[in-house]
Amino acid sequence: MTPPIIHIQVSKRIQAIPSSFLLELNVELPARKLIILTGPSGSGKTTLLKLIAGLDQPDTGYIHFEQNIWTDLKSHQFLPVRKRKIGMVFQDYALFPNMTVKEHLLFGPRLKKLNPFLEEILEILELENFLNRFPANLSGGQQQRVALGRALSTLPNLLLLDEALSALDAVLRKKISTFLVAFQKKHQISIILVSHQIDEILEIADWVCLLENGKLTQSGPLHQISLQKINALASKATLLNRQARADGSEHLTILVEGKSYHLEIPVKEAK
Amino acid sequence: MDWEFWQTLQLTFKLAGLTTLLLFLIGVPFAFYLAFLKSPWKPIFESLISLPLVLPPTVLGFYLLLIFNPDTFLSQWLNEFFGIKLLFSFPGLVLASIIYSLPFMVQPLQAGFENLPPNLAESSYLLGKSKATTLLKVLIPNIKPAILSGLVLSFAHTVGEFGVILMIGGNIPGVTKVASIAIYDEVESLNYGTANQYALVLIGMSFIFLFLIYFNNYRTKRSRIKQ
Repeated sequence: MTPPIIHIQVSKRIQAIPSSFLLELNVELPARKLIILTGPSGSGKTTLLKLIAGLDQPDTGYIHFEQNIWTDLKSHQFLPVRKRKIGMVFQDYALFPNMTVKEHLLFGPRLKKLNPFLEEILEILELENFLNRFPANLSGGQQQRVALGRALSTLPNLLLLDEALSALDAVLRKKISTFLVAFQKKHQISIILVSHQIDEILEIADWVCLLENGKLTQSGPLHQISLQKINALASKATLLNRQARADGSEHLTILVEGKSYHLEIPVKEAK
Repeated sequence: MDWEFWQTLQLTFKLAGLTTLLLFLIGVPFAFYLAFLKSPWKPIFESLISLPLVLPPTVLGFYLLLIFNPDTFLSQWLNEFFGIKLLFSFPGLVLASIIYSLPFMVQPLQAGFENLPPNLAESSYLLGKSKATTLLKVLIPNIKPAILSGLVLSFAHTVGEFGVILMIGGNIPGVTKVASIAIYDEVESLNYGTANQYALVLIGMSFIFLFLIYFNNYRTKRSRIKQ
């Protein structure tokens, strides 16, 4: 059986200042994995997420999610946003000012009371003490966690996170990113996380996409991403150690910004 | 103050109240549709809805007089099936008032919807919600100041209606005689005292309603600054 994929072949002209540019890509991404989408500001990452979510339409092309056609301009197919089963965290969180933290989590699944699944999310996101607070009375980091909780509340097939951990302190970011990895594996959902954090990319990504000026310049498992590209994202990455194993696989140790990361390269891809 | 004075005021507020309620029910979907419409036709719809703002009320009254004429298909149909007569009747006044005050309800609501961050509705759709649920649970609760403006302006504008009502309703006590018409009527009969009583009620009421809007705007701005 072929592994499930997300196939995106789209083009869209993005109006930007000072000049417009073309977002153009044709890529197959592994579904049910944690994909990190990175790249400089203004390279089209948010637009790409909106195209996938169905909040925006490409000028040409299609988006297939696993076996489903979500967008196909040629055959005039467009699955409405609300039927895609997507959870999304926007950069500005887009919380509902009229709802409390608790109501945000109950709204999607149409529940009257919290269930163990939602209680677990609230606990991990450290929001149990703010259940009756409105967004206006929460800090930026708390608002971001509510947005994440709301996105997770419906147990989506695909989670789109637009810099969803950026407002959190390092300890909480680490805790929540670890939770996201476990959540993804447990529920077998797909996650596309936009991130500029090199530690996130090296620690939790199954797959990395680098978008530069509307073009996907890198897309692959982390160990296929060149050190030069990682260098472009971080101040400096250095290969500390390359250890070949008896079975042909390799173990790399990379030093980035004073911290070492370990990469496993499977047998058939090790060179 | 005689019985007719109170009867006229009661009719005035009954007309304004009913018109405002119906306008709200009609105005919300209209405003929602217009706010999120991405079509070159949008300015045409907006212009049509805003026409009563700039037209002399007699122009609207004249065409409504033609449409409400008992010989038209609409009048005959309404009379036959519902027993409703539009000309010189209260239902006719309500219908005319709805058309006349439509922009006073739709414009504030539309502005309210347009001023909300677009991803608020998008977040709701992503959670699997329909447009109706999004409208009722997410959008409407977050445009309360705009709703208050729409309600108050529509009510006050209906109370102040004169030209349209005179043309299609006339001046039948207890049926179509509202305060604005009564003032004109009393002045014509040189009853300045009664005209003054009507006028003072309208001034007082208009001030209270406008104060409600401005006080609400003031409170909303203050709470935003505090946040």
